[in-house]
Amino acid sequence: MAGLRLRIVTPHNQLLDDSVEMVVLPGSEGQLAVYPGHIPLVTTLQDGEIQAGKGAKERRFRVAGGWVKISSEQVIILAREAEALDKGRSTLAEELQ
Amino acid sequence: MRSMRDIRRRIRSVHSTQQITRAMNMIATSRLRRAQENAITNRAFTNAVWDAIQEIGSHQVSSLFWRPRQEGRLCYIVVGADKGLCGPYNANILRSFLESEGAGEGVHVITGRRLQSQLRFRGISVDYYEEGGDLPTPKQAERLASFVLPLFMNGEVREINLLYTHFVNILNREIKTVKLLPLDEFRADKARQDLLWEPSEEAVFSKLIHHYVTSLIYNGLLEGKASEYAARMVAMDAATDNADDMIKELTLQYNQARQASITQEIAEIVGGAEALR
Repeated sequence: MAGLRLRIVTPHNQLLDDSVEMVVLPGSEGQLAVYPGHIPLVTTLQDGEIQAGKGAKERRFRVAGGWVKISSEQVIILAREAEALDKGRSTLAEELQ
Repeated sequence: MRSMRDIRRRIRSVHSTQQITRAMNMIATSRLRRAQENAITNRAFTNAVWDAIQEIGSHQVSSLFWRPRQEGRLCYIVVGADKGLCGPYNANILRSFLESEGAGEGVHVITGRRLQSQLRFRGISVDYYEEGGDLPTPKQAERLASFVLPLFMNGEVREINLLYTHFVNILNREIKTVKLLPLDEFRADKARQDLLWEPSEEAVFSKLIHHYVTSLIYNGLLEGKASEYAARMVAMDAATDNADDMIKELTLQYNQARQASITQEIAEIVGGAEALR
């Protein structure tokens, strides 16, 4: 099955534009796992963590103030703030210090 | 011919003007880099927002944001500059605004001190005003969105338009009018399968539309700012060159005047000596 195109975009940068196998999102009604072929869905996101899986690899992101548009082959996350959690320390935390 | 003292004074004054224009050119150049970067990285986001909105429009949507309206006023959000001395930037945006339908009876939302005072001079009302600042912030866009959205929700306004200067490159700018709401143009004739909304269409839309309007206004502010700095940089560069030309011309005049006065003095001395003999 074809992968899922995941895009995470904020006003300041495009954090990710990559093909993944599955995504877990903090939807407004609870956690939401999205696989390719998902029914079209629009929902707002709670501030929280996104997990994107590709093979054995997993990447994590943090989002705040966002919404998501899901279609069968694409997930677009539009957020006010977002950052990657891959690198041990969070840049947002550094900024706050 | 003007006296030497007059010319010297004039050279000094042109020179100090040139120092100002040169400084403004350098400030605009350094700020332009930041503003341009911001505007261009923000485009990816704005395009993604448009894509998502367009895709939503291809489904069956019933929300009031997608229905065209007949009643109500037009609302124009116009992005201008705080200061002048940026060539035709302000004049162009002002002209486009005055030529638009919204200039008469509409609701006018203005950013930029300069633009506001020009409108006041013309006796055009300003319903909401926001100062431009050095670099646009998401907060400004948020405030503007919070002003216009309720007007649309309560039916006072039938259309929200954004008028700003799109940054093409340093020498080229383009005035753009974007219709923010309603989104009736994005409505497809033949709706595809139903779209799922969580928790409900209205609940998602009330948040999503605010986000969408804020994003687009923010983009307009960023593009406008980049255009403003580019315009100022070009205008001030030309002004500095012109001042250079003027100084050259005046220096030539000054030297001519100096020579003439020396020649005259010699002639006087020689004449005096002749008379004594």
